[in-house]
Amino acid sequence: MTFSVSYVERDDGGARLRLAGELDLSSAPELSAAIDGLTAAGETRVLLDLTDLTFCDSTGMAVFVRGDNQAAAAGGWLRLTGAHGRVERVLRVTGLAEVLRYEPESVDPASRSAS
Amino acid sequence: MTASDVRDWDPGDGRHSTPSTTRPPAWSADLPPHPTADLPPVPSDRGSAAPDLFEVVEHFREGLVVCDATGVVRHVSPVAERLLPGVTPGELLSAAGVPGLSDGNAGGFSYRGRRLTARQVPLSGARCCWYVEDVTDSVGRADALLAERARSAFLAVVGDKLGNPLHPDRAAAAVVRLAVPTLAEVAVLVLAPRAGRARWWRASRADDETPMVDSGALAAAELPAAVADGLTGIEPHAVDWLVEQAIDAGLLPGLAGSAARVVPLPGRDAPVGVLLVARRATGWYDEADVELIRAFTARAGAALTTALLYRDQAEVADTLQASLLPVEPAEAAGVQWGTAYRPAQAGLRIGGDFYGSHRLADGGSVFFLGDVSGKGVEAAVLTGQLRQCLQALHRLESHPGRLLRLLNDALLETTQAHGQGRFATIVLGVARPQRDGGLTLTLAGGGHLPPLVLRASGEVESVPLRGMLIGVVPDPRVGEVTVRLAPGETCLLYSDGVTEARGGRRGDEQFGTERLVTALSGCQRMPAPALAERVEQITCDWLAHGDHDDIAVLALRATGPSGRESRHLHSVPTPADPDQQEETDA
Repeated sequence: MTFSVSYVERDDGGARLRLAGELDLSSAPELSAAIDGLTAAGETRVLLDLTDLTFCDSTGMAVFVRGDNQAAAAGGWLRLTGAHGRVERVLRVTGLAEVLRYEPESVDPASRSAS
Repeated sequence: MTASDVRDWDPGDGRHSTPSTTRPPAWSADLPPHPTADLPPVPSDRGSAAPDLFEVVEHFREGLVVCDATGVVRHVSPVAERLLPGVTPGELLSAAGVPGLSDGNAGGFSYRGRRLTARQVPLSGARCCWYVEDVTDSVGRADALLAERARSAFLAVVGDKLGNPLHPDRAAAAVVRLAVPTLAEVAVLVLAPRAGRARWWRASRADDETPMVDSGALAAAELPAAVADGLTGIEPHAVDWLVEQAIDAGLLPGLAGSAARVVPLPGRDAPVGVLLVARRATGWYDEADVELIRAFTARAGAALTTALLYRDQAEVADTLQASLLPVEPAEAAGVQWGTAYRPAQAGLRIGGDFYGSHRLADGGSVFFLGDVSGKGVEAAVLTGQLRQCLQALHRLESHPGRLLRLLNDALLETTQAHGQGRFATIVLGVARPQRDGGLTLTLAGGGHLPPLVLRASGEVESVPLRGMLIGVVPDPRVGEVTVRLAPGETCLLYSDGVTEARGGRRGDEQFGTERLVTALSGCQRMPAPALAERVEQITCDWLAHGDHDDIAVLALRATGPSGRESRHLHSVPTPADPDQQEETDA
């Protein structure tokens, strides 16, 4: 299944990327580029919507981690939402679900992973 | 003889025979000898307006020699006098000893250092005329052109054959094989010494087309002086003793008295080797020969340099690769290990999965299996770092949870420096043998797939181990679980290459944990190595396509009391004294 990234504006002004398809070694660069594009545009709070994502391997997770590291360096964060099925399972097993959990309108998620 | 005779005899235009009218010599028998001291006069009945054709003929580029029917020279034109000083009027032409004029077979020949061509034209009265032309210059030019073409063709073949050889031995053999016979009867390539030994390849001209190639090695100190000079980049000029030296060194057996040259093969800094060429038949190497040898060695040097560079890089890669391969777990009391490892890029032999074990001072073992994000060399390099970290850190910290946090800190430094979002997932445990032959496993989870346990009943349990991947956050949550293995029970650690293998009937279905559990149910009697192999096998059977993720499996089986006893029998040949045995157990 082909991978796609689409940009959605959020109500709170942040950016949301909606991922669809399979995120692996071949599609990871596309997501990387999309995140880099947001970062370059000054966006520091990036939410990835994984509702339509059907597969994610370690390369894909590495893109999440890298994106969060970049955003954190600029005082922001990258968070995940909507994961289910295989994607939810792999995020849960690796503990990444916990690291990158999106908690709207509660505490600022950046405070949890900040060193 | 008159002009009319000529006309009568020659049915042509009555003036001169043309080359195409050459007749067979048999004609002379048809006519009686008709000696005359005079030249055939130019036909005078052509009219007064006709030029004096004879005078014209005298100035042809071709020289003329006219003989009478008895073969005596009657006329020699000025050009012929110059070309054939030995030909004298009034004497037999055959007595002059000019090779090309002795019979009717016209053609090219050498005479007094010139290249001449001659053709014979019959005249009336059984006389004949020889037309002789000096073709030294044009033949020389044609020869030079042919030689140049041959050289170019040779060098083109050389370039083609040497092409892009990636194996230095094959390149070296190709170099000497190509040098024979064009450059030498025997060609020896001596490579620049490596660790004091200089390897050589030699091609000798054989009776059939293909030269014989052999090879050997010489101590650097035994190399002939000219060869040693050549290896420093100097093309030796004084080659007086070259052949003798080369014969002494065993490089040119049975070639005493031959001509030889040594030409370096240019390398990156210093010559990559030298080419020693020798020949007897065609003699000394002239400047054109040496030029050709230099052009040859330039190509050969480039090919060999590439091949050697490739070999060096391949050696480096092999060494690094070997250092990145998982090391088999260290033998430990009460534990039977089983492993399987299949990198995604099989040709690379390394990947992002890793496993290993280290013995602890207290008799236990620390063991681990993990997976670095990404694939190939970059991932493998990080696995190497992790394994080395663990090798050092387990000496300071043997508690799995704390060891995993230390590892996280070490990895975090690396991953953040690289900024590529790299991380690892890992299961890290310590196995301690129990008196009943079982094992106690203390497991720490770093975001990796939880291990499976094969119980003695045949059931397969998933260990409820949680935790967070390492190398991402400074203070990861590390899950810890203790598992008891009774004798004969096995704990299985595996990477997601097993459960995420895609195949099945539809071709893209994941193998999944449930199928793995099913496949292992009832396998409780299998030794650990067989079990690990089975997991690899069923995974590969499931795969629909050739490509897959890295696959790693580590199985530990509690060997039970029998395993421990057999160890004692091996390590203590005499009946053990109880105190000593106590110490060994502790």
